[in-house]
Amino acid sequence: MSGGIAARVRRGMKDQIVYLFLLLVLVVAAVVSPQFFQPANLFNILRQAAAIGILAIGQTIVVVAGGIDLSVAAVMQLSGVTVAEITGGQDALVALAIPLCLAMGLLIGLGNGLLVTKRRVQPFIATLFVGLLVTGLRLLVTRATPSGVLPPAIRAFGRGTVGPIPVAVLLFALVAVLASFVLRRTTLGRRIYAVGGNAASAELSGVRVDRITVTSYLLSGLLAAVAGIVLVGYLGYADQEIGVGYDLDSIAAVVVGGAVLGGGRGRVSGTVAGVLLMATLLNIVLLLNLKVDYQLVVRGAVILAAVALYSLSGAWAPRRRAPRCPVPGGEAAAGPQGSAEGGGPDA
Amino acid sequence: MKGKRSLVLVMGLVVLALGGSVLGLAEDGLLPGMVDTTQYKATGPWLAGRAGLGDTNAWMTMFGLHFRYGIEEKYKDFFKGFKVTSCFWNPVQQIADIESLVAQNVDILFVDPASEAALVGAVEEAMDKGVPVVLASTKVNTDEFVTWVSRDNIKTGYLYADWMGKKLPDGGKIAVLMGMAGSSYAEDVYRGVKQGLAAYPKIEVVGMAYCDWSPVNAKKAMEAFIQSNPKIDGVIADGGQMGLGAVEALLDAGRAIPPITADDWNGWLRIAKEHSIDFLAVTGGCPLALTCVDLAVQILQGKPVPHIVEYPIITFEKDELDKYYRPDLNDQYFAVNELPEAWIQQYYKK
Repeated sequence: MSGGIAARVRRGMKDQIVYLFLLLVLVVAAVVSPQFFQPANLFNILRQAAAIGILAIGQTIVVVAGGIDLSVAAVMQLSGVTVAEITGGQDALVALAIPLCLAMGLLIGLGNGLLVTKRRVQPFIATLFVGLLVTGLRLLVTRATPSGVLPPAIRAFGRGTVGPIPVAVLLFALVAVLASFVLRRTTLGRRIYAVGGNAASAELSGVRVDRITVTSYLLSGLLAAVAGIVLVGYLGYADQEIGVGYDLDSIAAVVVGGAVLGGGRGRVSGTVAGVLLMATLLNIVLLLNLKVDYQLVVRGAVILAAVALYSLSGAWAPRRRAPRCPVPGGEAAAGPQGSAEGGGPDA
Repeated sequence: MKGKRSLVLVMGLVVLALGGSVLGLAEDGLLPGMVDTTQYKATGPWLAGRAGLGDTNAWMTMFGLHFRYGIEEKYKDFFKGFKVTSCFWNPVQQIADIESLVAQNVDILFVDPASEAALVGAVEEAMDKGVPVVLASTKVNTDEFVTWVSRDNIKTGYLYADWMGKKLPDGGKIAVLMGMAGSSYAEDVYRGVKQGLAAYPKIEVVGMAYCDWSPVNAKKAMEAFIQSNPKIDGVIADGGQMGLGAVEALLDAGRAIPPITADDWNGWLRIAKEHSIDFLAVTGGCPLALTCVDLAVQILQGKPVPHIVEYPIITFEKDELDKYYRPDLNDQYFAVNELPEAWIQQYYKK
């Protein structure tokens, strides 16, 4: 019994490495920069992290399901530009613009999912080129000259507050709680882990793998569209370039948060910590006014250290497989969870 | 604005001619600094090619429109086609693009280089195959091109700093927001900023960040600088988009907006008008693309052209805002340009 508890604690520690790092960074920040813990600065960090955080949560769902989504930045940009184009700065049109943006995110997610499941295109390739297609169409339609101006209602997503808490942060928290609940406490979540852990086993266990995969891309597309609206609201302006590089940043946050790109392991809480770690590091090097070369060295080194610790701790080690058992058709099954330790929905 | 560019070009040629009369003509009968292009003379109509970076942001879009306006309208009887490639800042892709355009027998090749060093071989090879190369904006580290048109980026940085110095005669704390770390353009501008600030020792740079010309990154950086400094007396931003990010951060923090440097981007001018910002606009120089087309026509007619053309920098301040700001156009418009009104309306009308 006590051995089981110890194992659980050890496993829990492995999963929380990113939090340990975040804590360490916060302690260092408190020592080197007294301004860091001012509430306004902390809210700034959270607000800055909101858009990429929402994006990364969508990416987490896809990664846990065994895929990857490189179209998220393109969806985000499309959403931001579309909301500006449709509203033309008028609040009255926000009710039309937001559902349309979300629908576009879902549609692109559906396209990704169908390419991966029905046409058997590798997720990396499918989402990369869907992203390129979306970017190209956006530039074509707007002739690379979107209007840019946003209505006050959209700006409220980035600049508004509820009490002292920015709306963007509340939205980020809401998305994180909902996604975490879905992944850890619902049948859909368990199936997402199962498909990512071992799609063949999941299928043999009765899980409709294609449907789960498509659902993961749908959620990613939807959240990317939400992130686009939050990002342009934060800036108060919509431009073609907003969100460039966020695709890789979102993947980095997911991995720093402890997920495995092969699928089957990862948590929303880890991703949130990964996003916060990256945002906090940026804030600290700027507060300290480090030269740009040192800024990059410090940020790169800390992230690498976190990732290296994961590796050393064995958190990313290959999972022990359940004993192989013969099944019709000669496939081997490892059970729907496909995991003997760590990272699953109940870990 | 349209006449101003032609005037400057003519003035440049006059200066070169005067220089030649004082210093004497070179042995080949050309004025110093001029290139003999008789070997490139070709009967028209010509096929033009552009190995471009990609017209995917506001500046590049207007830059690309100047190329198109020159070839498709100003000199439409001279050209039979215009092939454009986009490498999206990838020099390896741009090398392939150059090779492809040369293989398609373009008569003139415009290149807005993604790298000073990486493109040397491709540009030299194009020239060796008899295709005259016109470099736009960034240089390539070789002399094997016909002409290079650029803005003096170090001077741009110097102008930012000198203006800020004059705005803060008693000194103060400023933030500096530059483009992309390692980019030769951004480094030149920053070098100019440092040179300019050297004359104002009472000015302290309390924050410097490379923001990739992104307003989002500029806002994030500015939010951190605001937290670590109770008062920021000025912001040197290399362009209006980063200026916009800085202003948004200042507004969110409830701070007064100090003097800011920027450019002639309409989005910036809108913000400057809305908040009565004291600013210096240093023009970005996207019309230099049209100068490239002007020179291309001369090259293909066998007329001598300058090897290096420095595109003039125009500056203006708050008091001239109404002259440049166009509320009837969208934010992506740049005020100092050479496009006819019909093109402006077609691409930038709200």
